[in-house]
Amino acid sequence: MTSQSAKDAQIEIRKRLAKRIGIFIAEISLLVVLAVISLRFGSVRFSTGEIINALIDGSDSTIRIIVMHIRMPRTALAILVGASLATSGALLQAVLRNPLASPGLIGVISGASLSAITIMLVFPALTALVPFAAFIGGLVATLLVFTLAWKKGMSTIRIILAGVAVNAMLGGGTSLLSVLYSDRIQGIIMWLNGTLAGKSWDQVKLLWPYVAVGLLVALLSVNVANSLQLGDEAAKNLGVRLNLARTVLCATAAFLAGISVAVVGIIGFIGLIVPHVSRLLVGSDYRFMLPSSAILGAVLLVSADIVARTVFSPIELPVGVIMAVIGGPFFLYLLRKVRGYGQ
Amino acid sequence: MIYAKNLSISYDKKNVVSNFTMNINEGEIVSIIGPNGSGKSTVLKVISRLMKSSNGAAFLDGSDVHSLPTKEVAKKLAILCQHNHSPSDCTVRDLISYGRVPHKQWYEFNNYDDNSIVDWAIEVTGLNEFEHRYVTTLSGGERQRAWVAMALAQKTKVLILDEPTTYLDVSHQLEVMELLKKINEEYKITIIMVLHDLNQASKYSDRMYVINKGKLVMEGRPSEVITKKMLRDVYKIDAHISVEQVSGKPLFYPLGLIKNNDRIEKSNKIVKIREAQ
Repeated sequence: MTSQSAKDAQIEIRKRLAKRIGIFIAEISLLVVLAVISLRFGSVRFSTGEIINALIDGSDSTIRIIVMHIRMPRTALAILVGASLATSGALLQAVLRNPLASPGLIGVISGASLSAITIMLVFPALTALVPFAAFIGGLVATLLVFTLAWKKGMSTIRIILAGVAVNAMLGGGTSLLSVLYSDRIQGIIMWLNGTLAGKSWDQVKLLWPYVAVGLLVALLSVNVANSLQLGDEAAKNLGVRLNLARTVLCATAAFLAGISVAVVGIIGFIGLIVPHVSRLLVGSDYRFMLPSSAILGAVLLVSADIVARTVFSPIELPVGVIMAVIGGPFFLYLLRKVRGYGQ
Repeated sequence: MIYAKNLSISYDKKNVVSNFTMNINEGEIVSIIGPNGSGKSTVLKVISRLMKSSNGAAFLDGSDVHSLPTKEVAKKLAILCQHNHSPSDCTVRDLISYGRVPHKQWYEFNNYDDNSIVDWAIEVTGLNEFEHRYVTTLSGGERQRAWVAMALAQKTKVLILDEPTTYLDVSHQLEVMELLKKINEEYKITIIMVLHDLNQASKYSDRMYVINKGKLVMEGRPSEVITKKMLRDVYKIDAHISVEQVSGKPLFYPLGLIKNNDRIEKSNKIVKIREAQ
């Protein structure tokens, strides 16, 4: 009987693993397909064959230039940013044990916006410094949230409340600047809604080492993230150093979101919704959920970007807007379809 | 094994426990009893390093628990708190596997040996048929056993439990208590727990500590602790105490509340009359 139940257990474990691996394969395939589509579509459409020929050929054909220097970096950037934002949200949801946790909650986005907008509106001559300022602003705001929340250790509820308060203050600052400089507001609308337009390999080169480090730390923390899901006392019982774990995970999340916002502007939504979608698909075990979030974040941003630059071509829409419009209904669909989620 | 020396504990400057001393030997089952709000759970939290004391210290194998690396403590001592929650899609096996976390580096996954220990914990707690059920779908008793199994998978020498049987029906209560007894007897795991049911505490404990208003009132074997006087002083109840035939342990039956001093005197008189008879 014991050997029978052990056998059943093995079968059961394999089944679940097979299902999860299947989902991973599907997610990665989807990303590849979308990346190819992203290279094909735009103001000019190419066939896959034309793209391959142009890339192998090596001549300076127009197709090669468009694909190599405009669409490829743009797609690569969408993948990096999508993965970073989704991972950031997944980490925060583990630490704060709150389904509404997202990079927007801990101040990193509002801090980045305020400093970027200050430069763009008040000191337009320094616009080249926007990515740097946004990154610093985001980290300073996050630091502020955590300093305010720290009182003999870090409680999740205090982080959330301090985050709400800091966001309100910084948001007020942003609104104030928008009103005072309303004549210049046109120029920042794209940034405020996130855009991948006009990005080149320079941005990709700037971003990828940071994203690689951030994602690596995140992937190595999956066990800690899992333990944190059991609650503070249970995690501590398992030997997790709560304050250290929270600090490392939150700092990684803030870092990933900060660099993303710095390069492409504000893209909300991914960090909030993608971890939930991922959880609905592969479950709440972070060993699967976190990598799946990263892939799905990339999938979502690549597809949103394709839509953003094709539907009203040649006018480009901000990718953040598209994401909310296509991601929202998809999420609601999953929420209704998967039984027992959110109960 | 565990020695708590002159513990004083406060929440936001309000003193909850003062000058509490406790010494627990290896292989014992010890329960801490006392009225609601007397500081029982607080003591458990301090000896298991979940909380810090404002004065005094708790020692585990001779070293201060708060100075030991928390992971080292997790290999020697497991605590099961009163309220636990797991993600909604966490299976019993998943939950029990978490017990191996203290034995792994933060980036390591469970290997064959860890899985064998998980199998063992499932076997001991009799959860074989529930292994792949979600923890959230289990009944209270089964869920409690799953959490005990997680603590077992930690392979510690000490298991601390905060009210493990509260909210369970009598048969599930018994199931949990019998399981703890078995763990204690077969694997020599020292058990310290807070219990509300005095008869249960009497039946299963080697020794008991009584705490009231943050102070240690008395300590000893159940027959020394479960007395009319203790119930009157600590719980303000009038009770009848008999000796249970099979185990020889004291059994109490509550007669009524003592509302004021008159009643105490009156019941004292009745006791005296009865004793005289």
